Amino acid sequence: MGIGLVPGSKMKDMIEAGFEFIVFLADWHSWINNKLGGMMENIRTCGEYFKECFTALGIPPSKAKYLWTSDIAKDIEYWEKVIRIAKTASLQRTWRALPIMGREMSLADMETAWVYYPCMQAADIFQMELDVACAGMDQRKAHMLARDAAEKLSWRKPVCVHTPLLMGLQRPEPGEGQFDEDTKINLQISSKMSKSVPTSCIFVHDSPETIKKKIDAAYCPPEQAIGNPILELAKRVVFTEKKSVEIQRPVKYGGSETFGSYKELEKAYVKGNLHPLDLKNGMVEALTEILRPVREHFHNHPKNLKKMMELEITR
Amino acid sequence: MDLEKRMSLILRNTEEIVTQEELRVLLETNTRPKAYWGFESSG
Repeated sequence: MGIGLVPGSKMKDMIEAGFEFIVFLADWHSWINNKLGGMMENIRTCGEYFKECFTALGIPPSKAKYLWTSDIAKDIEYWEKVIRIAKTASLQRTWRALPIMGREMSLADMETAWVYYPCMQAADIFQMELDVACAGMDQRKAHMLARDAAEKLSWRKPVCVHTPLLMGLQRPEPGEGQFDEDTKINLQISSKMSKSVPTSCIFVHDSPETIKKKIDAAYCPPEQAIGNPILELAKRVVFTEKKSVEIQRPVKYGGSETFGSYKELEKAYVKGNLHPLDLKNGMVEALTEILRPVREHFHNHPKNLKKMMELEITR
Repeated sequence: MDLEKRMSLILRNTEEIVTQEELRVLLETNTRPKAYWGFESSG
């Protein structure tokens, strides 16, 4: 959900605003970060799965260009940019821009390959001659590294568009990791919806039954908007895709009600006029509808989803 | 599409823009700017 619908709707906004848009499938970066066992074949399968998800969500290859790191890494000029960027930044600075950062680690446990990651992330932007880089808030440091490098190398500085991170479905807890000096950003990163904790996370291919099970089990403190993952979903996902949401409710509890904006919904909830259970049911229904095209796609083309599921099981 | 409409489309549901002034100048001077979102593969 965090990597599917939130980026999906922002990418659609950018395309509508007249941007030429590249969906960049970072296979080399995933390899560096040891994702999916660090096996390129699995990483490519996952990239293909992403491409299918985004296509189903309204970003087909006719509207956006899909590119892999492998495509641009063939060019020697790309690697020249990586080195030029690496020469502008201290090792400490590059290390802080790493997404893997967070755990206390000794030098002996760090892979040298990791420091390439932020430098490549910055080089991607210049190699593709981008005007704007979009990402979740957890990527802001790599973008700042790119902007600083641009300044030093007299390259074009990218404008950065950062979206909030969707929180996990469980009660948020101040995380163990130190991801950012800013406490608010740190809590956002450490409690974000994470694919490595499957119950904290809704997948865009989830069945209506699974969506219901996950939402039913989610943390949803009554009359409280801050730190409430279900209201977050309503705000960040449901109301960005839908103009209004109908919440069905038995007549004895007030009957069905339609909300025309997130603000209206939040107001009713905080006042206690909307019960957590009714809110959850409404969100299950809305998400099930929003994700219908993804389910239909994988129903007709199950190959890559099936491969992804097998990777999950063998992990 | 006019500039204000393009700006508001880009700004909605974001946490941070670095910087809004630069974005405005870009949209004023370029009708077809280039943007990306990078995704790491992970299961």
